[in-house]
Order: sequence, then structure tokens, then C-alpha cells
Amino acid sequence: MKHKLYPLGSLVLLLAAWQLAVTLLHAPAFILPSPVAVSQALVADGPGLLQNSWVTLYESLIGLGIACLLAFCTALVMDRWQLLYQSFYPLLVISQTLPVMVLGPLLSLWFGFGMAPKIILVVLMSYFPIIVAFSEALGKVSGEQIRFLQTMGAKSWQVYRLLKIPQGMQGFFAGLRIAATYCVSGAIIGEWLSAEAGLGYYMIRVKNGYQIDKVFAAILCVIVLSLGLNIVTRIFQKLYYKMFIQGRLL
Amino acid sequence: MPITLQNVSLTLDKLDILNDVTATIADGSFVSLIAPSGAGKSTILKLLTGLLTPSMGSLAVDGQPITGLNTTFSYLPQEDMLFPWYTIDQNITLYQRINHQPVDQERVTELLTLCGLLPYRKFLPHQLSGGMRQRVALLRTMLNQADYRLLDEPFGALDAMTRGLMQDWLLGLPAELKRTTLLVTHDIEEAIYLSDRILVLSARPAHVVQDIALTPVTRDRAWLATQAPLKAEIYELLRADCLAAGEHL
Repeated sequence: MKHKLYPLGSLVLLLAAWQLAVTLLHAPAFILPSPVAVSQALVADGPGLLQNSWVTLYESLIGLGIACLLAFCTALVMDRWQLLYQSFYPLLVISQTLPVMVLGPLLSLWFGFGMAPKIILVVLMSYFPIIVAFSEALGKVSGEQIRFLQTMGAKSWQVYRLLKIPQGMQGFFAGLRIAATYCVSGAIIGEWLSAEAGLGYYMIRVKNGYQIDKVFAAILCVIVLSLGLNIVTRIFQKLYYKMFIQGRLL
Repeated sequence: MPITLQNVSLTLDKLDILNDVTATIADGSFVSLIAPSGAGKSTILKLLTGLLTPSMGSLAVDGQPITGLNTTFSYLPQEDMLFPWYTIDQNITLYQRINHQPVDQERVTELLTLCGLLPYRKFLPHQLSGGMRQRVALLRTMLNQADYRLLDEPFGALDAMTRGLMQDWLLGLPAELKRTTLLVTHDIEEAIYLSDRILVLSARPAHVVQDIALTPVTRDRAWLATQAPLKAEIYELLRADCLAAGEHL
């Protein structure tokens, strides 16, 4: 418990230093608002922030869900047919060097100004960390364990069901935790480029009005969303092993 | 239904592992393979399960040649091979789940009780001690319906005390759980204590240098203590062979 209080203490210290700096330097609110001003903005514009957060969360969850499904299926197919793995996996790794946000304008051009380009951006940002981590975890399953199952009469699909998928899911969830953080950023970037709602749209709108305290309030919402998704991912991981694999409830 | 190895030789990566190994393991017997480290004891088990194919010679069970990966044997490799995400219950009934056989829960409970594992049936492997994990692995091997067991140094990683307890436990199993067993071990005392027959193999390339039949008596630690001359004889055999091969035991 004590070690959990340390980061909380550091955060309080940082906020105090920020508040002190703003007060002592008389920093104008349109350049750097104080933490107190940010929290006031958060309360004052609460309903608006909540509504826009919901839009961003919705886009993030849909995109993350699609990315999970795609990454799960493609990693399994590549693992089963090594020719596909050898042909496509290096391209997937190389493609990670491309900053996905540069595709934003193109996606808007191709898919319009609705939710689709934002969701696609989320899918692209979330897919790679999941498939890379899952593929690597599947590849690390020991050949001896596979042969051991085969001496018990296990067919190829049973090797996947009993061994490869349960072991590989550790990698899958590791990738998902990273993706859960990226996906909100993906939705925000999409909303910066073209949107009528969402935290990205809200940030651009309030920034143009020099309401920087509200920009910070929106950033706080982004942090909460990312953190929340990360926590939900960890809960899913525990539930997966306890409910689906061991048939035990929490 | 004997297991037969007829003039079996194996060369892997230009390295001669086995050289003309011939042996017959009678139905219902407990046979130990003992040899210097790295001589190819485990290789024989891998040949029987079909994980490897001999360069020369043949292996058969009840006259049927072994031609590839097969499910004739219940195989326990050196590592316990317990799946960490499955409970003890799930681990021991893996064979039944793979082969879509109904699990006799009453039987499982009875065996878990016999092995002192009943309170731990819903535990995960990492929550158990090394000895308990090994008992779980052995129990899984025993719940496998195969008529033959291949045990590859099952107690090799355990401390002396736990190993002794596990040997007693294996020896005291009820008759209906006993099967034709081929045990690979580097422990001479363990081989004497558990086996009806001991096949002493030479250093690599391995071949059978001595086939020792043990008198069928009730085994206990006091009896084992009287077997010091046999232990010394086997030790001398292995030592002489190692020295001849330019190694030190």
C-alpha cells in the first residue's frame, strides 16, 4: 500500500509546484492556467466534457474491438501457415515505423467527416502492437510442449486451443494494454482533423477561443480514458484466465 | 505385449547416439535404463514415442512397428509439462479432454486423495511445491489410458528427501495403477529400488552393456540398504565404460 502512495505524493508535489509557479510568475491564463483554474473549468464545463468524452470513448472502443479481432485472427493464421508469417510479418514490423496520424487527411478524404475515419485511425494505431505481441508469444510456445500434447493424441486445433492460444494470450493482452493507451490518441487525432464532436474537436474549439484551462481539462479527460481502458484490459486478462480457461469465477 | 528394440542405431548431425541397442521389455514389468549423462537414455524414449526415427533397426510394440508420432505410450518428459493456466484438475485430465473421453470424477477424486493432492485440485501449478507438481505430472501420466509408461528422469530435479518420498509413493501405488514402465534415470539406487530389471547402457554411442534382473521381493529402504554390492557393481560398470570412452564419471 505504501508504495502506491509514493506516486500520489509526487503528483501532489508537482501540482503544488505548478500552482506556485503560476502564482509567482503571474502567468496569464491563456498561456498557462493554474491547476485550480483547470479543476474549476473541469467542473464548470463538466456536462460538455462528459458528452465529448463519450464520443471519443465510443470511437476508441469500436476501433479497439475491431483491432483486437483482426489482430487475433491474422496472428493465428500467420502462425498456422508459416509462409504467410514469413511473407507478411516483416512488413507488419516495418509498417510500425510509419506514424499512422499522417494518414489522417487521406482517411478524411476517402471516408468523409463522420465516425469512420476516426475509427479506422484507432484500428490502425491499435492493431500493430496487438498483432506483434500476440505473434511473438505464439512463436515462443515450446516445441517440446507441442510434441508432448501430440503424444497424447492432440490434433492441430487442440494444440492451439489447449496450449498456443492460452499461452499466446499473455502477449495478446500485453499488446492490448499498449493499444488501449494508443487508441484514445488515435481517436483524438482523427477528431482534430475533422469532427463535430469528441474531445479532439472540443480541444480545437476551446483552444481557438484561448480557453486554455479547458484544453487542460480535456487533456485530463484523455488521461482518465486511457488509464480506464488500461485498467479494464487488466481486468479482462484476469477474467479470461479465470472464466474461460479455468472455468472459475472471480 | 512386449516392447522390442531390435538393433536400433541412431545418428544425429553426424553424431552417433545409439549403436545397435537390442532389448525386450516384458508386459507388466518395470524396467530402468541407466547410463552416464548424455549417453542417449532419453533418446530411446523419444524413439518409442515417435519423436525421433532410428537410422537403423526397428522398434515395435506387440509386434506392431513404431513408424511415427504415436499415442501408444503415456510419456512423462524430464520437465513436468504442467500447463500454468490450468488448474490441477484440468492438468491431470488433459488426456481425457484431448480424446473426448468422459472424466470419471469419482476416480479422479480417489487418485487425488491417494496422492495427497485433493485439497489442491483447484490450485494452479505455480502454487504447488516441486514434489507436488511432480506428483501431479505422474498422476496425469497414470490417468492416461495407455498400457505403457515412459518416465524420463521424473525425479531428477527434486531434492534427495522429496525424491525418496516420491519413489516410495510410486512403489506403493495400487496394482491397478501399475503398467509396463520404462524409466530413464541416472540414479543407481532409484533404479534398484523401483525396477524389476535394469538395462545398463554404455557411454555414447550407447548400447546395452548389462541386463540385470532383480529378485521379486517386497521393497523397502532396509532392503535397498542391502543392495550396496549391486549398486557398486553398476557403478563400476558405468565408471569403466566412461573411462574407456575418455570421460570421468
